[in-house]
Amino acid sequence: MSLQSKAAVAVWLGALALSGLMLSRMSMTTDMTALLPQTADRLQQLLVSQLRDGVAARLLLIAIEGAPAEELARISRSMAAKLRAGGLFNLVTNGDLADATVEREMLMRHRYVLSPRVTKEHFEPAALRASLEERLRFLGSPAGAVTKAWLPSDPTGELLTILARMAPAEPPAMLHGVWFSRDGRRAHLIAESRAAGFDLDAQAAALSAVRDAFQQAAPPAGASYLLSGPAVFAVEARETIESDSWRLSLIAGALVVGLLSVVYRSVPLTLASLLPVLSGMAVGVAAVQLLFGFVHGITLGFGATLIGEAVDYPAYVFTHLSSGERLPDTMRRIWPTLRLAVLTTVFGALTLLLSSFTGLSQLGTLTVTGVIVAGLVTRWIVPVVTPPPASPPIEHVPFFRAGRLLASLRRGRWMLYPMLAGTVIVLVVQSHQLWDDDLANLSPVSQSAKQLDEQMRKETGAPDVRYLVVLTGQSREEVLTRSEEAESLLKRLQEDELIAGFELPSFYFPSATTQARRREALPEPAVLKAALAQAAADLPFRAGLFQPFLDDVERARTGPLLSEEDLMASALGLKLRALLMHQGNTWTALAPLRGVSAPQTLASRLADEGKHLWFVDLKEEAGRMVANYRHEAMRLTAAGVAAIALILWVGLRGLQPAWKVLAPPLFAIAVTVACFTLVGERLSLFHLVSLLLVLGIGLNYALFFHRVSPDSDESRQTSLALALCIFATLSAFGTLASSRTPVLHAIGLTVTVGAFLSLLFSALLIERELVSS
Amino acid sequence: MTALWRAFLIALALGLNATDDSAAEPESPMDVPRLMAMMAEVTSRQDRFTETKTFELLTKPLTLTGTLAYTRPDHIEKHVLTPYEDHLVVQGDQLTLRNKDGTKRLNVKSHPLIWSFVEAIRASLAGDASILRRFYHVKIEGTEGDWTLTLRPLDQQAAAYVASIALHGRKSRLTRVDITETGGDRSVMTIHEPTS
Repeated sequence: MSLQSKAAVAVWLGALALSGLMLSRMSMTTDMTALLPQTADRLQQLLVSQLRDGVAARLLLIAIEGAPAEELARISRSMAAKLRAGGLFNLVTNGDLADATVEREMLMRHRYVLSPRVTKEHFEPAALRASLEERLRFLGSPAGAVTKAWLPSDPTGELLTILARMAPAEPPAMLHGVWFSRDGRRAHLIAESRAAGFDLDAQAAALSAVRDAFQQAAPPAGASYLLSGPAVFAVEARETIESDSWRLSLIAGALVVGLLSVVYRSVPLTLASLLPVLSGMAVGVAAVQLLFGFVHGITLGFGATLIGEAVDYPAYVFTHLSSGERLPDTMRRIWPTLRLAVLTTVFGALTLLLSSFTGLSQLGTLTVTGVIVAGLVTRWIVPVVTPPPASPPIEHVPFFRAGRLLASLRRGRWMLYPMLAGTVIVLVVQSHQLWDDDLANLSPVSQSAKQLDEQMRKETGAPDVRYLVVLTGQSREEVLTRSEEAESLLKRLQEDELIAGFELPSFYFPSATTQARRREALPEPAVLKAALAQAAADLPFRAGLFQPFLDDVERARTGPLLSEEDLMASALGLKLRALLMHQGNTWTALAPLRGVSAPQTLASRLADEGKHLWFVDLKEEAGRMVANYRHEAMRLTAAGVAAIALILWVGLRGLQPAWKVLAPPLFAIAVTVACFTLVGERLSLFHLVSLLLVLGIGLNYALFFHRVSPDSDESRQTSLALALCIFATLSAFGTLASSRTPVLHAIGLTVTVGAFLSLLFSALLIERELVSS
Repeated sequence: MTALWRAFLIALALGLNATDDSAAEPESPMDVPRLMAMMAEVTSRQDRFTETKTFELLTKPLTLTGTLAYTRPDHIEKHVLTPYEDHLVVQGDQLTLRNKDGTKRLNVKSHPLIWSFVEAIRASLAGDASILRRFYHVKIEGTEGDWTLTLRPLDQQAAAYVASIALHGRKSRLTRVDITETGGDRSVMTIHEPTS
């Protein structure tokens, strides 16, 4: 080993050791929102914070089924009690009124500052008389037996007014005192975890607490429970992806190693083939950790894909080994081509570094570093550490007549042109529906799980809002005042049937000004007593019956206003946290709208008549965010392709050869996209990243086709190299394509189809020119 | 068509009711199976009622009048006409409440309390002892010509509101419903003889 080689190995080992140190401190996250840009506008920030920390992200929807309704109700009560006692949840509700005592008492205690009906006139004799007559009618009704307990303290019916305003238009169905689905087959519970939605370990613990609570409720045989919610999806997705990607990686790895062993018939060569990709991955991930402070799970997954082409690098070297040749000599022979293969990938990914999206720039960092390291390891380390094989692989591979195969293939070359014409037509015609920007479709959640979630949310009234009015202010008081001001506009829109209903944070927590105004309106004891006596004259109420009312009004008149702590101690705190939030000094109030019939009209009415408010369609907003991400990825990729073209121009010394090498993979990508569009598969970010890999792999194929010399030995070696590479790629990514996880499936399918087409097009387009010249 | 058919059935039932009256033996002691069997023979009924509700909160009772109707197997209707209108309909599991405030619908089984109150009347008129026993201790006294069916809630939550519901009758006719609430308030619903 030369001194130079020794130095190279030392540097390599040192880099690996440093990376290992870095990796031992690696902090990995799977929080999707960590990938989003820092500079997004306010609505996007809101969306991101809702996705991250919002109450909706922490909700767990639980359904119990498979037993008679009364049994399900019993299990629901038992589970609710267990989960409350467990301490992992802020709140567990199943609709049981017996558990709503805290809320009722809180509302009752603060009814005079909460009720919109509280004015001076409300306590004058005429209005009081009307209230009392109303009470009398209520007393005779079927509800009288239950509600009469409130009559002495609340003859004006404030509690009912408050409850009516807070009640959803379509409350969850009830059976045997707890929430049920409309068909009565499932009992429903909602639990809000203490831990944030993105804390997957804590969420996994919460899920197992639910399982334990169900088991401890002694469910009868046949009874089962269903879980839904963002946390459930995230935890399940993590498990599926982990198990799926481990399993598939093992299968793919075994296939590739098997293939290499058959071709090389040498353990050292097979093992040495893995050095570049493993070194590249280790150093690349360490670089991301160093630069960003964390590594995202998605970066890791995509990065592993992109660096995947590095598996091919040693294959190009080993297959070109001639009889009696030393590996370093072979290396020198093919290095110019291999160097160009490495550089094209590096330049292609370099532009990703410029992205404002953390996700893309992490990916760029990982790819650039990883591929450079893999290239360097292939060049300087692999030839020196690999013991020379007894005979070069080309010697013991059954001779295959690649030349003949290629010749017959090329006779069908004319078919390429109608194919490309067809592709252009398809892409132009379908250009508006190539991409799928639905954020939900990026998640690896199955369609059936999504439907279950939708159904459970609808039936329990759990917050899952698409249309929102967003109000902002510099303080809580300001934003609550704006929430109160928005009420009349929203009521008008409701009357005009543009919305079916709405909810405002001020329903639950009126501004201090409004509360104080209501408190001001409460009469002095003597005044109220006289007014009440006048109102109750000749009505059959027992004398002194309303003393609790007089006492309560006086207590409210002289007592404190409703505070945030009062609310937080009850389930209504959940509502408030979902509707009112702040980041620093910016307060935001959300008003979820129900039953939006004409979003366009609604948006323009709100824009014309509203002040300090925005209409937001969260689904559209999320879609726009994904689209932005994709547009940026596209722009940067286009820049990357330009950079690749430049490198090829310089490396191949001419525009024409550069175009010849670049054309096959680009055509392959176009045809792949057209094929997907034809079978109705819309492209997501996953496809886009996979297409980048296709470009990298395809360029390598084209480059090696391009360098083929008339020398028949070397021609055979290149054929073997390409055959080995395409088989390795097809077996690895074909395995991924068989996955049921959408991400893995998309990557696998795209790369399989794209790589195959790249090789085919390279074969059809390139060699013929060289042979004829 | 169905409305006509129902009207015909009601007329028929009222007629049958009258002939039943004349053929019975009023002095023999009543038991639950017999009463249930007799009730089960009536397809439908509709009668006027006067309900007097005594409240601890009030110095004098409230009096409501209206009509009470039952149609086999699971439809009951209480229509208050004076002093204000209040219409309660139970059809199967669906309870509908209509008054000047609007219409409210809910599932009878949504709360055990509501279900048990509905069944006190409906299951008695339907002659379904098994449903009654699901919610109440059931006791019967008197003769065929003058019986009293007393229901006491089994469930603690229901017992917190209602001490007993006593149904009085003659043969398959229901003549009076006395509800005694746990707090002492009472409701006496007298069901009038058909005038024609």
